[in-house]
Amino acid sequence: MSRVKNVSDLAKLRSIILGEENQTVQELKERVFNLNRRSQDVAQILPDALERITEEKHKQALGRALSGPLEDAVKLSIKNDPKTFSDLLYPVILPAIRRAVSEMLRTFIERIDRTVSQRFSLKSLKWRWESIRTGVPFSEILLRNTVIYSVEQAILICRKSGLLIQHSFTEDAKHTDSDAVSGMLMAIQSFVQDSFVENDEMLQRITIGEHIVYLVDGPYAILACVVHGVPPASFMNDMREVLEKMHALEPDTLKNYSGNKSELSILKPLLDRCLHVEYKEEEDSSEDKNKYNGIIKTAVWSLTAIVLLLTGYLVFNKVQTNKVGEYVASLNQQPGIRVLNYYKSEGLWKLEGLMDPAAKITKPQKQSFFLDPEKIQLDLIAFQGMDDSVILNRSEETLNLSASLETTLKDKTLSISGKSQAHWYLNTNNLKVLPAGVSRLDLSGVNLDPKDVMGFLAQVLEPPETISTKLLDGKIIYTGTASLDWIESLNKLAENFTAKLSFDSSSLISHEQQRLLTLINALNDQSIDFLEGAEIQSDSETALPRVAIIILEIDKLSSLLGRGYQIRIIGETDEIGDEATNLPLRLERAEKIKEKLELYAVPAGHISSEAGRQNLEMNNNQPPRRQVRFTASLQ
Amino acid sequence: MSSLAKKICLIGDFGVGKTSLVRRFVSNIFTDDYITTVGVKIETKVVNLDHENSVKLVIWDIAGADNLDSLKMSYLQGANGYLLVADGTRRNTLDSALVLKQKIDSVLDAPPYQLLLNKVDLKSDWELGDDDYLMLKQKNILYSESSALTGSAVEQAFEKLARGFWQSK
Repeated sequence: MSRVKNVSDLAKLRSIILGEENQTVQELKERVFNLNRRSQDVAQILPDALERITEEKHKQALGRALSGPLEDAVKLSIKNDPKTFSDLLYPVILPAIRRAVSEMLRTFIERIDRTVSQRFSLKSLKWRWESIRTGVPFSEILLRNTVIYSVEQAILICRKSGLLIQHSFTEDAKHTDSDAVSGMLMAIQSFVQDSFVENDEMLQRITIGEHIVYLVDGPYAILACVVHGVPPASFMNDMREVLEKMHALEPDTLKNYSGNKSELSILKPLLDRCLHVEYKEEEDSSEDKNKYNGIIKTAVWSLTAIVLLLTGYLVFNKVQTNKVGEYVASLNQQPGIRVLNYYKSEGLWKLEGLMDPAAKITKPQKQSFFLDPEKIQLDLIAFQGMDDSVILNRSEETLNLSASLETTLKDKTLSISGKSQAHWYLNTNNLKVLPAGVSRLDLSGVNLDPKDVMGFLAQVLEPPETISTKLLDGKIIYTGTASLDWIESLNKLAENFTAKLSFDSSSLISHEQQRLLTLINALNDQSIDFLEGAEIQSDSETALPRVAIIILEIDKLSSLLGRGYQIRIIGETDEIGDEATNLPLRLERAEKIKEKLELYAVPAGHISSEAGRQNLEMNNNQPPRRQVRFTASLQ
Repeated sequence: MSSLAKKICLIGDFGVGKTSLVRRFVSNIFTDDYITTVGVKIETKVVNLDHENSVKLVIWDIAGADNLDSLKMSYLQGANGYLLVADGTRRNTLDSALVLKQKIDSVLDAPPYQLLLNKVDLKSDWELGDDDYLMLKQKNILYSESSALTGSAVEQAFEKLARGFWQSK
């Protein structure tokens, strides 16, 4: 109990003695042991603390300390979000890349320009000969003769260790292991320095053939330039300026160079600038030389122009020939055309071959630089093509087809369909020679207008006024009289259309038929009177020639009309006498007339003689007479 | 890929096999004539420590001498490390090497090194005895027995130096 009291008293006593300090201690404890509080404090003082680092060794220590975490932080950040970094680096990297590319292009163009300008000169030929003669590469001779000097390599070396810091070189420069070379340079430097001089003077120049190595030294680094040719006197001063700039830019890193080249990559552009080529000015000392060069240049250009023109002409000709060849091939693909040969003559392309007149020829599509359609002359001999399309073309032309008609060709049968005119149908239907390639004509698909046919027939036949025509239910009907010739013409002509139309000419009567009927009637009216017995009455003798003429005409017309006829000569007697007497008399009389008529050369085959029957042969209610009468009938 | 270049020197008496060791380790670009004319020949060798990091060793093969004169000392300037080479068949070359080491350490602020007791392929002619090994141990000098002929311990020595450089960069 007493011990507890003592502790309490001690605390009280401490509180009295320390007072405010005690509170301060508590606050300090809070700062030290509370992590959040400590972080706040560090964040507060860190920027200021970093700014206060002025001593070099502290700066380097901080750099070393931060390099690891920063590297890790950057790696992690790039891994997580590469875009942020690329966006940040974009404005830095892009101009650098642009500069590098433009510099490279400039050098490249300069080189091409120089090479081209040297390519055709007299000097160039001379150097080429020298190259062949000595075996030295042409590029080396060209370089020797056109370049005053060329800085091929620039090497920045750590003065203390001889380690390579940076190295720039041209494409043409020969270089091996630059780290070893820089070390060896420093070794030679030391060797010469230690062997031949007592102070710290440097080896400044090493000459090897046409190459010179210039060396300038700074406090921490040595700059060595490998030069081909002879640079100006100021060259080493220029080198010194560059080296001074480098020292001014990175004095500490140069001094403490650790062998990590990336630490001093900032010096690379300065080193690159040391690489320089100085070309010789073109010589123009003598006027004659200029004149000579001028002639050579003119000759070279003229020759070049001629070669170009010749090449152009050959190319043009080749392309034109190809174009014409393509056109010929396209023609040969067309039915009814075969181009067998083509050539150029007097500025014209002549195409020789065969062509069906019915074939359709096409000109080249349009005028081009290489082929003018007007410059193509076709010399094609006519022949008959047997391609279907050509046969159809030919048929359409030969048959003079109207637009209303359509044609098809199958197995050499030409089928025509559609509405046609009567005259076209008549002509086509009566074609004696079909178009080449067509063996049969099929007009079953052709339609005719009856009115058109009727008009056509009227126009062709010119019917007489005695003829009348009418159309009834599609049938053409002819009535009236006309000459037999006309009727025959009509029937013949109409026959051509009977496959398409109906005709009726059965009511037509010919003039010849009419005449025949008239003659038959006339003959039937004729009689020849007899005296008693078988003697012809003298008055009736004159009737005989008339009867004969009638019979002859009947015979002629019957023959013409193709009709058969029969003429009966009937002998009659009067009522006097008995039958036994009269019957033979009737026959005798008839035969007598027949004999008489035969004297007129009437056709006996159509004529018969007979005895008429007594009392029954009443003619026109006339009493029986001593006569012979005639009865003609058509069969 | 991170790369570092470091200068190392090969030090030792005449005939201890320095040039043979380098030849074993690198492919030469300069002829050995440099050693007799200039007194040094320089080769390089990239030692890959892992798939990302490497160290390029710039190896100065300095002509052998019983003692380092001023000329040879200038070659040592800026060296980041060195290989001390002694011939195991010639006892005196180890003594020389130790003298050279003392001198180098005084001039170059004791850079890292590797002691190679070379020609271990000629073990029958070996002159180094237990006393010598004891002495080296007492002086806390780490050593390897190497052979340029068989390649034994050669690469390891260079690599060990390279790793040391990388770790202390």
